[in-house]
Amino acid sequence: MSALRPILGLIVLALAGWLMVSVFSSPPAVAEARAFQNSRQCQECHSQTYDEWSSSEHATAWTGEDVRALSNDFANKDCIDCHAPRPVFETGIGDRVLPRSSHRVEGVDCLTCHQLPDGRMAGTVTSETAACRPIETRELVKVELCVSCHDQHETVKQWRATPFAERGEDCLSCHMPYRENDPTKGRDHRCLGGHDIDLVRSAVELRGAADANAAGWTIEVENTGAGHHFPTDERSRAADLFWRPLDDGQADGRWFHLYRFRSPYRDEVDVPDTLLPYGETRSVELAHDGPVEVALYYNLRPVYLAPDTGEAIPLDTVIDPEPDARLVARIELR
Amino acid sequence: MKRVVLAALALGACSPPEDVAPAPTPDALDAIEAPVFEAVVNLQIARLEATVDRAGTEQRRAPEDGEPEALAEWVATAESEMRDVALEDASTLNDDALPALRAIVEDGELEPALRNAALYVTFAIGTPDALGTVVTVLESAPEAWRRSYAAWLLGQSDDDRFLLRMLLAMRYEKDPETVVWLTDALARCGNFAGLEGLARVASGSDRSAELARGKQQELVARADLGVDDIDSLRRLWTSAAAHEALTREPSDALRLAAWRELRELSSERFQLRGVDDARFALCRTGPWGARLVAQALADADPYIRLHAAQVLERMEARARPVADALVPLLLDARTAHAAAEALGAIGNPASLPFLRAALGAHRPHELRVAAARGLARLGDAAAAPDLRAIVADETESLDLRLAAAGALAVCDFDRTAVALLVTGLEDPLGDPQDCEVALERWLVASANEEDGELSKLLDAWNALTGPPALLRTREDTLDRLTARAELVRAFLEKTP
Repeated sequence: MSALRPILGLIVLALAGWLMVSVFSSPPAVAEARAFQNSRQCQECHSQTYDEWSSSEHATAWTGEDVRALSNDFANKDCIDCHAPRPVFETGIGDRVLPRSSHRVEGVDCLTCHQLPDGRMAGTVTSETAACRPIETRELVKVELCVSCHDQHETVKQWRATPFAERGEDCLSCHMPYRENDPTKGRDHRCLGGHDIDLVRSAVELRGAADANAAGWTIEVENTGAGHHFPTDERSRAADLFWRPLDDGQADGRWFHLYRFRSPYRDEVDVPDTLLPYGETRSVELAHDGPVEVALYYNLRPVYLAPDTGEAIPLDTVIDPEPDARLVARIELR
Repeated sequence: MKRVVLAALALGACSPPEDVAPAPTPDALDAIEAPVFEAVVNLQIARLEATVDRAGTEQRRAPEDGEPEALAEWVATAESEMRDVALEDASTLNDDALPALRAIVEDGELEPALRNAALYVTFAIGTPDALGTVVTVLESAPEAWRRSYAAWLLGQSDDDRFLLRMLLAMRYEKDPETVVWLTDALARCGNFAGLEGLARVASGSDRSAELARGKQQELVARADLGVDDIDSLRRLWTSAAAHEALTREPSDALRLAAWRELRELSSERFQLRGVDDARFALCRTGPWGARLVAQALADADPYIRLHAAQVLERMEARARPVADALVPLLLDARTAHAAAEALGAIGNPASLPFLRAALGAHRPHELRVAAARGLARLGDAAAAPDLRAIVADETESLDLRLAAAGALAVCDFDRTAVALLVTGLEDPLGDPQDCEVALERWLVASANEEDGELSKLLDAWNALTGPPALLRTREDTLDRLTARAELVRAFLEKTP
């Protein structure tokens, strides 16, 4: 019994210390609960996340040049549903989004993904002291949260058919990874995707080889890393193969269009759907007897513009894809 | 004594503290009853399916072996009178003739004349399935000449059962000649939604333009609506007066198609493509369509209610006689904002007290912003005091103040409102492009009042629009917004 005395003494001392701290320390500050109407209100406490979101495509879903032009400044109101949606938790996880009227300038904002029907916020912890009164909500990190908008282009459906889904590598794994790969530092709210060329480059592989009869080249593009089709976003995204000869003095440096990966608008009845599913390889024949340079470009718009007029031009008249598209991969075949 | 002290303390405890806002004064919204919802759309579909699906069971005969092919050959080669005999013969056939005719229509190896003749025979059979086959060619044939022919055929009938599909075909049609014939077919059903597309074709200088101009004259004469020219006909179609002028009632088959289209707006449908198509077709229906869609505002599905409100919003003045049906939705949290914007776009002056009430500080933020936007469309000066109070109150959120400023500028030229919008043009958090739209609306509305300075400002504003490029760069947009901000600022400094 005497041997236990020091231990018991320590326990009593610790309890007494805890009691003193509990009684005399000030209680945690309770921020006044606020009614949240826009994302700027979130910035006060979540500046890093707000800054990341501000640089994201979600933040410019309403103000981006492409969507303003393609929607005729949202005179085409059909575009508003996804570009300024009501909070997803209000319309229903996995349900179709509905448009909102207020703070549209913020596009797909903090409230879209976090605001709950009662005005509190979905979060990773529950707190009765923070101004937004977050509630731990597991749906926040599920693919169903992204479905409402992104499955309008069937991206999540495409993902479900890949091994990524079986392995549990979901939307957040690639597009909202942990900051510095550290779960304690929260997730990156830039939501990088097609606008991040490095991420696009990690999705596909470009290869080429001489034809069996040596009359030209076989060019292959394989979707090796996208957890969905390449490119996934129908209509407004395109990936184009271009080539140019390397062999002689006749080459003037201009590119020639070879193949397009894209899903067409509904009125483009004569345009085939050529999106490349994950794990598949698309082979394209290039009839040129001599060394060539082949490049895969990614275009966030479905068009290339004439440098002088700014108007869309046919693909076979594109001389240099660079101003409108970004280089994904390039190979030389000799 | 003790009781008196306790009573005094209790009274003190119950008195409102100084800083508590007084209860809002009852307004127009407080006087209306909360809406009651039921499964309107599904009930109407069930009711109509019971009658429409039983229709068209009259006696028809099955074709003999090779008869459809022979009729098609006959129509392709015969002279006019003999062709009519063949078509009359076709009108007695039942749907068993359709597979053979479809095979000819779709066979790309055959002569175009024979393929079109097979489509003509199909049309002459005249059953819902036969007409549906013609509409399918209109919707999906890759060759413009086939779509054009299908549209021409549909213009030979006033059967309206496929009106909504024809309206939707207009959405995607690019061939000018098909647009002309499709407009004609729609007009046969009492629908003038094609006039806009027809005007675009007519403005050209090719053969299609000539055809379109001729069709415009023909439609004015055929409509027999007391209008002398195509612009008057277009104005009538887009006005509230259309309800009195266009009295043709839809067939039950068309009503059923419209209710089914409304079902495409429901929460059961996930893909927005179908929703977009349904919104497009429904908002281009005539006055009867407005009345039918207004009934859907009472549906139990909030998606249907919201999108039905959007359809009426897009109908604008043509929905005016049914605007009252939107008012109860201002009390429905899920759809109030859509109802407010719709009431403004429809432009019924009777909506004014409800939209003003919706601006109240105790109303949901989403509704207040939408009401301000609605008032910008309504443009009634009576709302100016409410709007001015919001614009002046810096404790209100910026998006509400800007929406109110956009309305105030239109309702009652207000320098403070215009100045706030100019600030918004250059403030990334102020929705610069929406401020640009609001300022342009103010300029267009005000310059019509023959104010020389405002007209000059509008000209200078328009000159900054630039060439019609498909896409602009961020820098282009910022330059334009800055230049327009400077223009309006200079105007405000120069004018008293």
